[in-house]
Amino acid sequence: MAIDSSLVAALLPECILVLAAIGIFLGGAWFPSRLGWASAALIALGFAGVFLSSSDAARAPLADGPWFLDPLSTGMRGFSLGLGALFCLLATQSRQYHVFSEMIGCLLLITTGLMLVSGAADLVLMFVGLELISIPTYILLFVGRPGRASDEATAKYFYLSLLSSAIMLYGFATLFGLGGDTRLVAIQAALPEAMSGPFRMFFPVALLMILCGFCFKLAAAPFHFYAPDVYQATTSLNAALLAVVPKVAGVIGLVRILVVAVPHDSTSIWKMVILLSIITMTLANAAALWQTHVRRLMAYSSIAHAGYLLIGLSAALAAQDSTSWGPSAVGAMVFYLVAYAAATVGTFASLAYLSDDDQRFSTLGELAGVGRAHPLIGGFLAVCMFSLSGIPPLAGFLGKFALFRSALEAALPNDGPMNAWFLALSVIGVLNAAVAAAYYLRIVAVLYFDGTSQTREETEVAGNHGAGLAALLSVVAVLFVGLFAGSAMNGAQDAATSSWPIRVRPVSAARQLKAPVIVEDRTPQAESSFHETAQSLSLDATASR
Amino acid sequence: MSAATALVLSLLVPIATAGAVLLVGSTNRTLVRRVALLSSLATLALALWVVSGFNTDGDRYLLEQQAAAAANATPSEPADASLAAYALTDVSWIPESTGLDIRLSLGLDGLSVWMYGLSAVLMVTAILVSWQAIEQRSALFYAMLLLLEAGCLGVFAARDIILFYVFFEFTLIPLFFLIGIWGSEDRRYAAVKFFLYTLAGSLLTFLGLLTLILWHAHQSGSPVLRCSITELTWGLAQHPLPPTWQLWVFLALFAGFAIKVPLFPLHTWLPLAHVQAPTAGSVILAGVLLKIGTYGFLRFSIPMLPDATAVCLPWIVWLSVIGIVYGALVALVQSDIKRLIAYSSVSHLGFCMLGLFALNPLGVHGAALQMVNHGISTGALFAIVGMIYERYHTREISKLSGLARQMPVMTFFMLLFTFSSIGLPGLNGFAGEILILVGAFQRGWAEVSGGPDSAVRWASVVAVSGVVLGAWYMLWLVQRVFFGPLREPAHEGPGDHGHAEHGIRDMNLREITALVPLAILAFWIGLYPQFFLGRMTDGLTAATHAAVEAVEQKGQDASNQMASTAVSTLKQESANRGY
Repeated sequence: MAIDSSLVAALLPECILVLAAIGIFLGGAWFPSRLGWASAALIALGFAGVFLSSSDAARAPLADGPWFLDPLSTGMRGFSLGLGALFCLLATQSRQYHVFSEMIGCLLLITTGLMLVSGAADLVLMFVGLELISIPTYILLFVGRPGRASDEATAKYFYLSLLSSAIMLYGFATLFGLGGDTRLVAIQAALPEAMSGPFRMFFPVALLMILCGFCFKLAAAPFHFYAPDVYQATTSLNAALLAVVPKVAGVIGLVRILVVAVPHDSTSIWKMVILLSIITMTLANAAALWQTHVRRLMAYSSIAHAGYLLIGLSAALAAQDSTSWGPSAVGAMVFYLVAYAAATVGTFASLAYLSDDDQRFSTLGELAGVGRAHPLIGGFLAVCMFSLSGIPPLAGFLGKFALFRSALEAALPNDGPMNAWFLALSVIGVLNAAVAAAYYLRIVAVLYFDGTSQTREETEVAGNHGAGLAALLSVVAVLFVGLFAGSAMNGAQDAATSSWPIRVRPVSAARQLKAPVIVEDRTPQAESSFHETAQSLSLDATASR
Repeated sequence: MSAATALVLSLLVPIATAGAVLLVGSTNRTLVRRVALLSSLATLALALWVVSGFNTDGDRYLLEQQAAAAANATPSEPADASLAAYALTDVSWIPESTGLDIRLSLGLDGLSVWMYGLSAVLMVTAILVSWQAIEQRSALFYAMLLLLEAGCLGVFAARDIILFYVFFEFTLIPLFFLIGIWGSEDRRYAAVKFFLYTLAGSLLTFLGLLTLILWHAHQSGSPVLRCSITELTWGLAQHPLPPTWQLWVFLALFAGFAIKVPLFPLHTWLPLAHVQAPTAGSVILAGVLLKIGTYGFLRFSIPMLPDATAVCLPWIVWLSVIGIVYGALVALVQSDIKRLIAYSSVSHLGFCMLGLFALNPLGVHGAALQMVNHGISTGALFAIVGMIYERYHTREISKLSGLARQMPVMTFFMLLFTFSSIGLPGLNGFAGEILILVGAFQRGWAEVSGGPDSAVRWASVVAVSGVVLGAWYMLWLVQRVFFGPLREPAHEGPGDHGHAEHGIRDMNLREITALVPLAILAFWIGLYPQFFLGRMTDGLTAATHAAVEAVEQKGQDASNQMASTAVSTLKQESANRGY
């Protein structure tokens, strides 16, 4: 495809970020300045945001291109920019003076990668975006904190991440082989034919490998083993990055590929996702109860939240068409991501404010008395903990509300029997949320109930003001999304609805199947007729053989 | 100022004060507590303004709607939520466009009006009894207390099911801090146990409430999930859940509400939390927070799940009665005054549940009144225990004796609220307990509303022993602590030579002021309960209407079945005899 001016216009924010990253990489070699490069990055992010918000979202010129311009894409790209700004703020007072510009540049590239994944309508572009997130992350992990533990953690992450990327790529390749195209829309159109062909047994293989790859990104069981070690060994900034960015990318990727692109009339996949979800959250919450290292505890917390996110995924997969609860389940995942990201970044930013890059304030005991000596940061941490445990009126509550609503909607359909799988999932989910509250509360208890005799002087903190600002902004987001949830929920809902499948209907006869026509049709009747046609086609195929 | 504005303001004033106190973070204890007192007094004034103008038009409207629906026997127009409550404020919180219509909807009806008023009264008491006791981090303390007040008022005023849940859960946060920071020795364990126990139950409750919302949306064919309590109650009466679902949802709601009440055997968090909490925390916990459980049953379980209520009725009655007797027996052997009163709460709340699930007008009225009564008497008793602790730094019964010689005024109040608690005629406790017991006996014996129920029959007999035991443990406590030879623990402070007689003063004006409103209420309810009962009648009738019918239906089914079994047995016998 020739380079189209409309494509460049659509990708202008990403272009700005890449150019800024290159400029910062190069300029940092001559002018080592922390404040300067951090401001440059923030300005670049700001410009990208301005162009993103002013770009017109006409999807017509790009409808069959590698790029979605729907509200889901635009919204998640804006969200990525916000995350990028928070991470740059978090990094401003890093002790790694000599590589500071490289750190900031890497953060901009990671932001770009996340934006690419958000809009990718093409398997190749999505993979490029995912790698653009992973590769700078390796660098950041390596420069984050020199030391043997950190090196080991970096190596662990590096090899496992490579392995998962390879598995995912294999899945993408298989899907490409079945669909004959890398564009998701085209794959969707071609799959019915492929499903009746001789290679249909590769379809579950492709789905399984893609699911495995994304589960690593989400840190969902059984691909979660790296998380605790890596989080513990690395800095708060990197831990925040790992806890949030791959998860956002993973959720968007799963929604785009599994929910939207691939016709999911097979029931086995949602059952598997339910099992993964239950195993993930139960394992993580059980393990987190015994942790005394805060970042390790937060690692298990992030695994548990991956489990909650999978609740939404399973409900979305089980939804038969866009008229049922599918869009609300996807919207719930998006909303939950925002709530989770705000609270998690807020937590790690508060920790970074206390200790910067070094290892202080990383065990629960060291946090004793912080609530009294530093009321503001203590308050931030407490708000984030309550939000993560899902206590109203904070953002986390509405996120859990939305997820459990979608699971219950799948469990109690309009007519017909209860779905025991989803009923069990909801009950196990809420019980897990209660267990999780125990370890979040333990942090709050340590902050406020212990070490009350310690004074401000005794708990000397690093006082990283960039991180403090990031924490403040995250907490404001947690409170704002919780108290004024309407706009955020509306946004998530619109995004989910817009991303929903543009259903493909073969034009009446088998002869014309070579040229499928894309029609936007969201009625259940169209859906069933589509399935009937697909069935009759497969009968035709066997008969002709 | 309209009542609706006053109702909204009564929630905003404590929140705003708490925010201001937290932000300023003043270390000036005198200033902070004065501001907190002023704020709670202003809230009380607003609340009194709201309650004084209360009328039951909303409840009567609902009754008329029910009657109309019953007469037509076809689903009539849905009840208009704006007419069903007094002082209603209804603003969209989460807009309909999200597919989820959550509203900031506040208003009062017969079920909630007195608990709302009591919350505002008890908060003034709670602040006054903390005046001297709280020395450290007073800004945080009073901010948390005021947030707790806003949560308590909001729980009872919420007319939206999700808003109710938000306030319901939100009350956990301030109380967690109140117990954990200013509690006694074992405060951390108590705070965490209290929080987790309640949260685990209420999350299941949340699933139950969500199921109700989803069912209603499915049945009414609305693409938007509606959460208005009025609309849900109405909708679930028109198209009730299938019986098996009702049972599951009832159990889910039961998990949260029964832990909150607390119903035996889910009460184990309560004595711990009470004993460890600071005085103000105990007063609010006993006075208001426990009632959220009974209120939840009255507001959600009974009206929305009538068939499951009928099925679970004997079980819950028996659990209540076990709670009554068990709580009383355990209270009898306590050596710590606060723990004794905490167990007495288990017993008294058992009475409330017994009355509720007697499901006849007398029992339900008694239960609703007893919710208020228990708040008054037990709140005041906890306040007095706090005053004793401030003076002697002990709550051990064996270390204290003959305090009446030292403190005649405190003895007067202690006796007053003891009598109120054990149900002396003329005071508030009597009015509630007699109604509950008569209601339970009626359910067990009388040929009204579904006929006699043998399970309830023996339960109500056993429940009476709770009254006797209650008088025993409370009067014995007063006898041991306040009468007999004077015995006081030696003071531990330096420079003190054990001459306690010179160090201990009787209640001062502040402490008397804290208790006088409660004493007035105790006499008022005791002497003229009709004032309070009359304003609840319509609301209670509307709320229990469906469940009463379900119980009657069940009773008829049972008797029909018995009759048909008898007939078939006769036929069998006659066949056997070869006729």
